[in-house]
Amino acid sequence: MKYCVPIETPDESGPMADRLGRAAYLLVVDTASGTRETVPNPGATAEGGAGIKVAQAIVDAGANVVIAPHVGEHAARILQAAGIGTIHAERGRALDLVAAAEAGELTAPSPR
Amino acid sequence: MKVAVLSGKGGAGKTLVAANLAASLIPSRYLDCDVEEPNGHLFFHSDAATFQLVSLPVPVVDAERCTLCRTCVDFCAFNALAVVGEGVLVMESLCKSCGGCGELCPSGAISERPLVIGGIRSFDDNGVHFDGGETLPGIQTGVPIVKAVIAQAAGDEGRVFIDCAPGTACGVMEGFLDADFCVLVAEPTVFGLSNLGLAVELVRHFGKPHGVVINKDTPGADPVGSWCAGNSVPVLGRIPFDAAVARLSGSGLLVAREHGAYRQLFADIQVEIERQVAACVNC
Repeated sequence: MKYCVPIETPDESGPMADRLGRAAYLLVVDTASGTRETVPNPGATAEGGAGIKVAQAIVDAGANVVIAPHVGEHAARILQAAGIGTIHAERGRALDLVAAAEAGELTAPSPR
Repeated sequence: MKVAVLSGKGGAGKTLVAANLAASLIPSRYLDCDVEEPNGHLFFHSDAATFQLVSLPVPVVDAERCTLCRTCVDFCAFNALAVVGEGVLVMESLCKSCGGCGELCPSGAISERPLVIGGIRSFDDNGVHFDGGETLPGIQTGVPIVKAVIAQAAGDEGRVFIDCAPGTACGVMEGFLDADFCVLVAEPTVFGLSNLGLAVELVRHFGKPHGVVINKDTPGADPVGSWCAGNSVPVLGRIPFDAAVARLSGSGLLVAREHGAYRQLFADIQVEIERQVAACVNC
């Protein structure tokens, strides 16, 4: 499963950002291969439509599940169209949240 | 002659001034260009109103022709487009209808359809022709509706009073660009003066002749009047801080229709406006 979590610094061990569209980076974790990647969020500097930009980046990263405190209307529409599940989490270390989601301890992703 | 009524903030008395000017100087036309929070219809009424829709073109992507090349997605400065799976999603509420995506699409897959964003209510009420713009909830810009309302009065050589949106943003600008004169409504306080300064800066930027109407005027300290005197901005008139005005307005009535003295006060403001326009060498 490939997870995507918004983060504010390129530090993999850091906390999840408190927003999705304007977070500075995205942490992409592939639990099958064990690879991790930090990519800049193109929505962070967008004048408008940040949610669309970040959702497009998540789609392009090939993620299956997004973990975020809140997903906006436009981003939700794109993620849903792409069959990407969203898991709601208030706060926590990004990698801990991925581990918890993988263990089924967070709300189950909405599958398609 | 077209007179735009604006102020640096909401609640200063734009609608009070615009609607009462229109009612005092019939036959006239009142345009409600505060299309995001219209309130002119609280003072003018008719059982025979017409309603026309205002729409904007938004892109429609033909999935058969689309090659998912992303030219449109990369071009859109407002991020209204996204490629998901085998198609392009259009976020219509973010689209500014520039048409660029359709122009640039190498496979001719993008056409346009009208998206209704609001409308214009029109009717006649005792010598005042009313055109009021209204924006649908969720629509991000009312500017095209303001333009459509202004267009209603194109070629009208009579007296046209434009009730602009509050503040100093694009919607306000569209409301007064076509006007011969700008009336700036201000409350007689230091806060009112601060907001008036913004409005003056805006109309000066566009070289529009302008004057001030002081609303809720009270005896004593007069920061707005003093500032106007020191900055060569004419004070066109003063509306007293009168409970009768508040009571009538709160009941959806126009003080100019109910009291001859107020009808005269607004007629005098119009005389002053016309004097200013005639004296303006740049007009």
